[in-house]
Amino acid sequence: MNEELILHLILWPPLIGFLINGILGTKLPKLLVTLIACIAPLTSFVGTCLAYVQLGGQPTNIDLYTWFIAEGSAKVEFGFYIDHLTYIMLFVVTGVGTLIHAYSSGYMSHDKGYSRYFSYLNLFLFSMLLLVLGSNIVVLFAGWEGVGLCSFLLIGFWFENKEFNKAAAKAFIMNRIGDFGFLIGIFLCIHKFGAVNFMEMRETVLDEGLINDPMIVVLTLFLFLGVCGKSAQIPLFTWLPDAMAGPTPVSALIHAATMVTAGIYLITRMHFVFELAPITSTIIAIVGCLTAIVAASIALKQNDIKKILAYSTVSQLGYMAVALGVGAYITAIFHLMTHAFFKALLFLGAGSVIHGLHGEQDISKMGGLKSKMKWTYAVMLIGTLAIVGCPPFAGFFSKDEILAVAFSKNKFYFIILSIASVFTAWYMFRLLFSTFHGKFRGTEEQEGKVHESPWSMLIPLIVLAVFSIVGGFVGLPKVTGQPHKIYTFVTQSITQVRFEASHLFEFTLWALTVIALAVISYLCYKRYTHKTKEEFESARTFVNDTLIHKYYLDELYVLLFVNPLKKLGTWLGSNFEYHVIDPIVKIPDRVLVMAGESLKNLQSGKLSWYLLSSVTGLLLILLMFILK
Amino acid sequence: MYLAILLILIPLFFSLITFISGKKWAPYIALLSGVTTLFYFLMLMGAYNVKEKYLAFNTCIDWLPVIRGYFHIGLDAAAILPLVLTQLVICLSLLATMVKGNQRSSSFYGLIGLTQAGLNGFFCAQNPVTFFIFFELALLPVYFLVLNNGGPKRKQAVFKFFLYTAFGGLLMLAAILFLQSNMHEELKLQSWSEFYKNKLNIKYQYWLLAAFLIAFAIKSPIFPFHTWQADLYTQSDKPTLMIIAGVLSKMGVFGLVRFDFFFLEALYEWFYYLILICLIGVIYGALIAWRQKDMVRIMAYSSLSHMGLIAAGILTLTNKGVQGGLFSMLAHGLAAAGLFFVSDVIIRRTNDSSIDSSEGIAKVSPRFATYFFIILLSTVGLPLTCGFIGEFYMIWAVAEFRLPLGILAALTLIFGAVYMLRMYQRTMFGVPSPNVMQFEKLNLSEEYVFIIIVVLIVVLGFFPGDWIGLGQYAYQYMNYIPTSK
Repeated sequence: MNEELILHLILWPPLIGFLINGILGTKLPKLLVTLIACIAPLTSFVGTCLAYVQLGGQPTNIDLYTWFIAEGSAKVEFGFYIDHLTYIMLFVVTGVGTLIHAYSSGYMSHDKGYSRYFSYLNLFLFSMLLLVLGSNIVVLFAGWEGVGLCSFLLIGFWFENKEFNKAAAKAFIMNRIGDFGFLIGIFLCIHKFGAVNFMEMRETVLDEGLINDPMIVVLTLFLFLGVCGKSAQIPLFTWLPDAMAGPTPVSALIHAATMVTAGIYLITRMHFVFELAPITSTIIAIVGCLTAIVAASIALKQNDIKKILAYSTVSQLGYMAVALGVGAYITAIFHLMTHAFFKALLFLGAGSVIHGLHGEQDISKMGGLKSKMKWTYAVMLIGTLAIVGCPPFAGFFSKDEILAVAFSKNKFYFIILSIASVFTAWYMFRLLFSTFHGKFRGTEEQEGKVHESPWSMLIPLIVLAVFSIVGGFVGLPKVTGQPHKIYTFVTQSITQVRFEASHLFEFTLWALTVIALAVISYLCYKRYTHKTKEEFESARTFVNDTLIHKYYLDELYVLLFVNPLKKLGTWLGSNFEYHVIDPIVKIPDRVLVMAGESLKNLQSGKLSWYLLSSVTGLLLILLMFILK
Repeated sequence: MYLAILLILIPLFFSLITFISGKKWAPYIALLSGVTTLFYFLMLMGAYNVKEKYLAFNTCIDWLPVIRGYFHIGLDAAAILPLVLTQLVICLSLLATMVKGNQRSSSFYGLIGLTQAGLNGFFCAQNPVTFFIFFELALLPVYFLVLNNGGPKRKQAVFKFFLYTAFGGLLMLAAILFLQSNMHEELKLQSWSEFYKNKLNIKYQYWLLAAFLIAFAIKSPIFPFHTWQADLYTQSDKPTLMIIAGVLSKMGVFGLVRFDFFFLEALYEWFYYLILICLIGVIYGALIAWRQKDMVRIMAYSSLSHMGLIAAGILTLTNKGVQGGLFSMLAHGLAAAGLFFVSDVIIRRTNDSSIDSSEGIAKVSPRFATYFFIILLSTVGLPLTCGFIGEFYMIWAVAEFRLPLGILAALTLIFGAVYMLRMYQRTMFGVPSPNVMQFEKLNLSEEYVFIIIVVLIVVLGFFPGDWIGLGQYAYQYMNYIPTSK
């Protein structure tokens, strides 16, 4: 099987699925819709496996055709590139994607827009594949915008609800602010490297020593603006929590496991450029730190189960950004992968809870679900242990690695991330205990209807749970004496020195982690298990208010940007347009009218006036001849 | 028989028949004319080989010897994309009237044919005199089209439009007469290349350039000469508007492409400021569009914003700018025709063009909402639609010219999304309002219009390569560099 065929096998099935379900979906039987929708990502997954086997891990470049050319500048191929980094992303995207498609078939089974939902989901997967497979920055950008579009469509999936529409538009526009930076970044790349292809850029970088070139710094900063939009970093992260308006599987797939990690992928893909700009790297690390702690602190006070997880995602993305900022690209990818497993698991688990409670999302109205939803409880427990970094779950290894790297580069990063870790443990245990332990706090009617989710939902959960348990073992730290498989794998496409922490440090960190987790889980158990519904209302202190209102960032943006621009637009459209522009451009018109007004007196119809003027004219002409 | 002049004669001939035919047959004859011209054009395009002969299938008649005025019609690379657009949009506009209750009198169809002839002549014109003749001729039928059909205040709107464009036309006429009489005496002035090769003395260039710029800025329109636009767009008949916004608005920027390179020296001194003004117009249009309540006004200001970007790109006088500009004309023309047809469909069904009065259309007519959405995507420049390619090139050209200006231009990415999504969400999303509940399904010819537009948007988004490559030949031809140097 040749490489091009394999590429077709990976890339196109989701698009075909989208077209079939999108055009004919409402007319097809539900079973067929489900089959088409789920087979598409599965085929891509199989294609990915095939690619790995067939190509033997060899980096492969496949150009399908030339998309467009600007003479004298870069030639933009509709081209694709598969290397080890791509494989990791492909496995995550198609693997988790397939599971979430399967899960959705249960979760969305009662929805009227069933086929529309799946067509969007398939389109999303296609865009995501375009993003991770693109061999040049423009194809990547196409995928990048495509996933943003699908995110918009899926957040606003229930478009009859105006709040959801607002959330969708907000997500799209915040992403567009990032994309604006990205686009400028692309043009600067072309200008600087004369190429759009990542490999060609890399060659240029290797050929010329461009370190701290001001242009490179500007370029990377613009690209980072794009990353801030897509990967929800400060200052553009506010769209992600609102994005929870979409169906829960969407939150799991797009707003936790895949799309939001696109920014992390982009920086890793272009790490050779970012390495040339230490200033940008420092900014990335600082922004990452701030994002991690700010989001984690907001999560402490939220009562909506999905919002907590959303802020948690933002916070975890902050961790990845720190790893990128300190140059540990592979660590970031490692955390990206484990995070995809456990965060998808947590979201789908939350979805199972919401499904079981018929749409209830407020944890103050839950409690005691342990006995009624055994499977869900078990997987949520695993997910929680994974995200808080309890050994030996997946999150432990990747988070531990980020902390260790941060410690070695800058103690300040380490301290902030450690505090964020404590917050993480706190809000996750709070979520777990108040949802599953204690007594049910909802109405009796609700309690009677609580049910465990169908198997189509549970099986993906169990698979993800298994990955959340064992996923970390592919990246064992040096202390264990075992190979760090992710590192050996990705290092074939990313040149990065392997980071090694001292044994003493590792052991201290582990011991501290375990002790801290034990203490926090105990405290949370005590505090949240038996809380009544009213006690979930936080006291109105300044700190609480600030956290509940997300540091008033939304209000600030409205005040600073949205309202002034709205006013400007209104003023321009109603006043400026009619009272300034129109009169000015009408001046020639006025002049003509005035000229006509004054000249019309010439044609007065009085014979004497005509006679006088003709005689005067004649005299003038004669005078001219004489004077000449 | 390969002759570009037939692109004028065919619609002219059919239009005469249409005028005298009855109301029953007129639409079909007109459509036949549109389709015949389209296919004839495609045939010409197939036979056209830019590498062999840049200017092909031309007819040249010595017409006004006094001012060395030749009547010269031919096909060249710069004209191809606008011509594709013209033939398509004419057909689409005709299809749009093929709906029950939307038919027009036979004079409407005749006038459309005349418009098509005029536009084809305009794009095929091979020297300034011919260019001017068709610049004015193409407008005449449009005045009548808007006067005959449209909103209650159409007379004022048309009058304003007429005053503006007549003023611009006058300036251009003076400029062209001056140009013709001041070019070197040995030259025959048959075709554009003579003007590109022999530049006028710089002291004349400023005045002439100013005259042309104003004429074109009024025509497109480009900020700040746009105040006729929103009124005319809201008042005019929507199938006519598809032609006005889709093709007529491209005449101004096409004029820029043709004439820019006459005045290179003068432009090199001014273009920074000119581009800045265009870009201010981009933001200006977007901000106003964001706050409008009437969907036709939103689309009108959106159009203003986009035309500003296209003009800015062309004024960079680079290969990318010209290539992208020509491609954007096609991309924007398709999207604009689509958008105004959307407004037509909504207004015919709900009798209202306010975005606040009808909501939830997506629930009642999901297909329509989908078509609208894809057209919207092209307008906001989403990759894999043709709008993206155009926007990408324009911003690229400007960014390479001056980075800060490029950043200003790229803001359109954000603002475009803001106002388009607002309009879309308000009308399509939400719970269906009472006046939308009876929203009729799209009928066959409406579906055709949308399918043609949507398919072209996506196909051109995936495969823009050959189309956009045409602009490069045009650029080489225009940006003539003497070989001796």
